[in-house]
Amino acid sequence: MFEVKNVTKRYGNVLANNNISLSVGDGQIAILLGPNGAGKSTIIKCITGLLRFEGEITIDGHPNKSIEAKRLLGYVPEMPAVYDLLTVSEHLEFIGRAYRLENWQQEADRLLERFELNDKKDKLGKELSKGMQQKLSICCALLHRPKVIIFDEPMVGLDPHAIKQLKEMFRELRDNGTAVLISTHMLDSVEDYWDVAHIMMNGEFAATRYRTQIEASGESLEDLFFSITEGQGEHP
Amino acid sequence: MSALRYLTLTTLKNGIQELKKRPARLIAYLLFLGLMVFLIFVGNGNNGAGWEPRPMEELGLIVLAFYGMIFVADVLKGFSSGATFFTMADVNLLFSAPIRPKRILFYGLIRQVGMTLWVGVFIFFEYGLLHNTYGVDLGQLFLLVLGYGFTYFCAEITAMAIYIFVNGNPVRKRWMRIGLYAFVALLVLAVAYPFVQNGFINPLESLSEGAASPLASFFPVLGWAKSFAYMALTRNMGMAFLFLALMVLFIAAMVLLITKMQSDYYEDVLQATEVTYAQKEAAKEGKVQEASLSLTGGKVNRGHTGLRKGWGAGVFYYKHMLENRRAGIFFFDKMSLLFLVIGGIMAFFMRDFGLIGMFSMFTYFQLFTSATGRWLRELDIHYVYLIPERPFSKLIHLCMENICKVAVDATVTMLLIGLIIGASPVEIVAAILARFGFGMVFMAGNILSQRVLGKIASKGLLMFLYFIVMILLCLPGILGGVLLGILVPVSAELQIGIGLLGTLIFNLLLSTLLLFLCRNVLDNIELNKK
Repeated sequence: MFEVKNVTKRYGNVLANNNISLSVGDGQIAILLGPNGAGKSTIIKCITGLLRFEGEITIDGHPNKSIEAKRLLGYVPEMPAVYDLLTVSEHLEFIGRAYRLENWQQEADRLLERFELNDKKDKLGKELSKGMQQKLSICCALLHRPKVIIFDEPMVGLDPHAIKQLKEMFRELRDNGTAVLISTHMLDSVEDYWDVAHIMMNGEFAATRYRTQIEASGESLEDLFFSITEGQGEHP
Repeated sequence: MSALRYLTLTTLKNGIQELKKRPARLIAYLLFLGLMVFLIFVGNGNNGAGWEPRPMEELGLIVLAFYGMIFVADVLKGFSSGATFFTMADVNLLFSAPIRPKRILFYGLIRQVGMTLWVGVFIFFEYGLLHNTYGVDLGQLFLLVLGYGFTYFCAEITAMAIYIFVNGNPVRKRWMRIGLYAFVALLVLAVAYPFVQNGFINPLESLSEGAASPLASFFPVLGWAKSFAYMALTRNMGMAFLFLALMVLFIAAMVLLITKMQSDYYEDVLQATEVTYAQKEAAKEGKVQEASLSLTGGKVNRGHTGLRKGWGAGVFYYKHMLENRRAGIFFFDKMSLLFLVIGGIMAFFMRDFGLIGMFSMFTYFQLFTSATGRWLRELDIHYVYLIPERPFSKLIHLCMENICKVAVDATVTMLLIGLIIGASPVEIVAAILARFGFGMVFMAGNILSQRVLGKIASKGLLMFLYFIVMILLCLPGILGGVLLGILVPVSAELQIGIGLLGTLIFNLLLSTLLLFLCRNVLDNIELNKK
């Protein structure tokens, strides 16, 4: 699990995240929704330790910038980042060695097969399409079997088959006890598997809903999203 | 106000306002300016009673070679990617706007003039050398920069014209290429003729004589640019402006040719702009080799696959070596090789300068070749921050590839120079070690500039900051070396060696200190991005 307590992030005078708190338990899928500029990517980068912040973030009880926390964390950035001159399989070898994984090859083969990259093993990073690069980025983030995994707009650029695979992967991760956080614009792409949804607006959580709440009240997540982002009233 | 005028003025205004928001950059610019004024002030000293300037014809030869390299390298772009005065924003917004293409072309041309002169300010750093060797004054230096600007501008517009003329026509391309090579060969022959005629003796004097010959002086563009500079240096301003007028006419003729040759130049410029954009983006990210690969069609020889070695942070070194192999680099990139060849030729002709003179010149070159390294590229990708290893350990392993490169470069370069100028074995070894020391300082300085000033957004600014930081960081090593050379009581033969080794000690201490101080550069991505 991971916990975010009272995190504030400023870029100069701009308040990107204001006193954000959330926690995602083992085997739980949380989604971050919000319009462009709401602060979703910023809080994600704070959690992954890429940005400095005020407040406290722990991964399984370890401060997020500690080596112990990094071992437990996987991250798929919004823009796929691959090395131009490494082949697909060398990317996974690189991660396997960097994370000091003993038997990374089997897991690597499984991931490549799952995301249909098997026949692209010897392709260089620069020879891959954007969608392929995103798939490779996902494989790299999953190789060390993280206990916490964070996806920033993971569906962008993926073909329908890869989106289907990724959704199945989310459910498997949840079933295996992984804490998953997904940031997305695409409401329809996440509606069938989330456990808790946080809607962000102007760097803050404008509303938080659990699936059980929504199901009980009959409220629509999409309607809630638009009423918040289009400025119609308070939504605790 | 017309759209183009609005665009030009607003871009300029926003550029200045941007500096207010980024005080570190403003300080860097001011420091750069201050350093330039300081170097001009220091270099402007009295040359002494018995001082005699070296022959101005010799400087004419150097100017011709310098302008020639700039011109030919730039014109060759016309055969591959083409040259462009435009950005992707121009292509997307201006080309589709209801503005006449010729007006847009002139907008691009005018903006390019500013850019070329901006790049030329680096020549001011040579003022001390030019003043003390050839007696060049500040006004003449301005004219040398102007000559450079015109040469560069002529090259850009020639490349553009060639590109439009040969694009998609292999026969034209072949003949134009042959024509360019013949053009250069003819100039080389004109310059080299007295050297051959004199029986291959006194190379510097003979080649200078060749460069001053009427054929070389009136040779289109390059001869005119050289003659403009030479006439300005010898205070024959009437002739200088005649040659300048010839270049202006050439530019006007090229503009006319481009507009007549093809009224719709957008398609040709589009591809060149896209390539230039990709190249700039790659350069911003430190992917210089990848950028050149994309220009050449991007064929990569994979060779054997797999990293095979490395564990934890150590894997970065092996990854970098694999990437280097695929990029066709074996410790020497193209830029280092070019400087090595140029330096070797210069060492041959300028043996009188001695080991210290040559070492200083090569250390200066080293500034340009040390700006790249695979570690820089890593800072933009999240893996290096997420990998569960200590930041300092990751930093050291990121630098290993560069350290190896510096060591090989130092050995090859100083061995070559030492042998050419006939230095003793002790001096050669000392020079190798000293060059390694400067290489380490440059590498550490690069990390420092990342740590303190953040990710540099433009290549021009990168060079600015690079110069400031590096020159300041070199000072302790140079002063330490000079002091040790003077204070340690050894024979005259060993004095140079001791001085060079002195720089090594100070430079290694400084680079180790800098690396230690920057040990947390990989703690988060914000330390490298503003």
